Amino acid sequence: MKDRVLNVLSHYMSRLHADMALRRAVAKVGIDSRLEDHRMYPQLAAALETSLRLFTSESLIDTAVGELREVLTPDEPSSVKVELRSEADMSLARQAARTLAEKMGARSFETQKFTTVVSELARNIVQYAKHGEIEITPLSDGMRGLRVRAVDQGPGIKNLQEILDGRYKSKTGLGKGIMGVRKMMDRFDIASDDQGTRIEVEMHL
Amino acid sequence: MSDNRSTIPVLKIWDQLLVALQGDVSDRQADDLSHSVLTRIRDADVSGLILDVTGVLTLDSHLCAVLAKLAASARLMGVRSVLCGLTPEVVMTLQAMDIELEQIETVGTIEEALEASGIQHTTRPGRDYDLDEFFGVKP
Repeated sequence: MKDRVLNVLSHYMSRLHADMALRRAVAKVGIDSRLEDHRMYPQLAAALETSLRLFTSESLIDTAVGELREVLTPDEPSSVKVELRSEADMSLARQAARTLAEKMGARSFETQKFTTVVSELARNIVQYAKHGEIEITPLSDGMRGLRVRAVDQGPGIKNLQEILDGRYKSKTGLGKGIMGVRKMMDRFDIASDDQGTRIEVEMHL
Repeated sequence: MSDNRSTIPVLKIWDQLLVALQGDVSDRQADDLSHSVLTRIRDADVSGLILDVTGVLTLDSHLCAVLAKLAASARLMGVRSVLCGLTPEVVMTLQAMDIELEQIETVGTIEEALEASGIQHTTRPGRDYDLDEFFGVKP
């Protein structure tokens, strides 16, 4: 993304000026230097527009601003649903989690944490319920973050209370996974009976 | 993104087995890895196992368990295992999840892992002949 922005800018100013203009704009709006946080794009475009006006003649400015805004169109992160039937789907779920977390501007530690959480949830489904789905949604209600909903119609987790109390030491690792997910996330809801399991977690950014 | 069906290569350097896990490691790949490493240990003269996770995208509880189990199995076969290349992100995640890897010895880099297994890095001597002598200008 950075290169694409620099490319547009260098049509209208020298590469050096373009680089400096971008640096200043990045510092001004407080976006990460790799321009990963899509929601900051409008502010970034506005900040760069000021520099463009310094270097561009009146007749060209509208084209220049248009080009810049086109490159900096925020790619709205939308929710992703992954159906889980086999182990290969777990990779897809992890990949989707990583991509979405990065799009939301999560830091690398948060991305790692989130991907791991989705991996644990996906594994629980594939291993114990055989079939289910995971939906990852960006939070909307004024809060920056991600929500994961993992739903299956499996046999349910029989010793759930024991696991949540930390009394359960498993050989298979199920307890560790669920407890880990609960520790890492900012919100954790679980409901499980013989009709299936439903886990909902949120990570706030 | 690595292919799910591909196997993780196991390299032999002198008497060390080196496994560099890369990208997205599926459960199947991890299980296959354990098997192929233990087979190599049985068939070849191996005294150490180096597991490098620098390139791993997600190290979750299952993969940790597989690696810990692999190290424990290798130990039963008389081979010492060293884990290296844990990134800060991975370490922080493992901490947050309360996953312990204390059964495996860990070091920072592959170089340190090789050193831990007794392989020394030495700089090659520049020349083994004397230029001055060669040109006959030696005083």
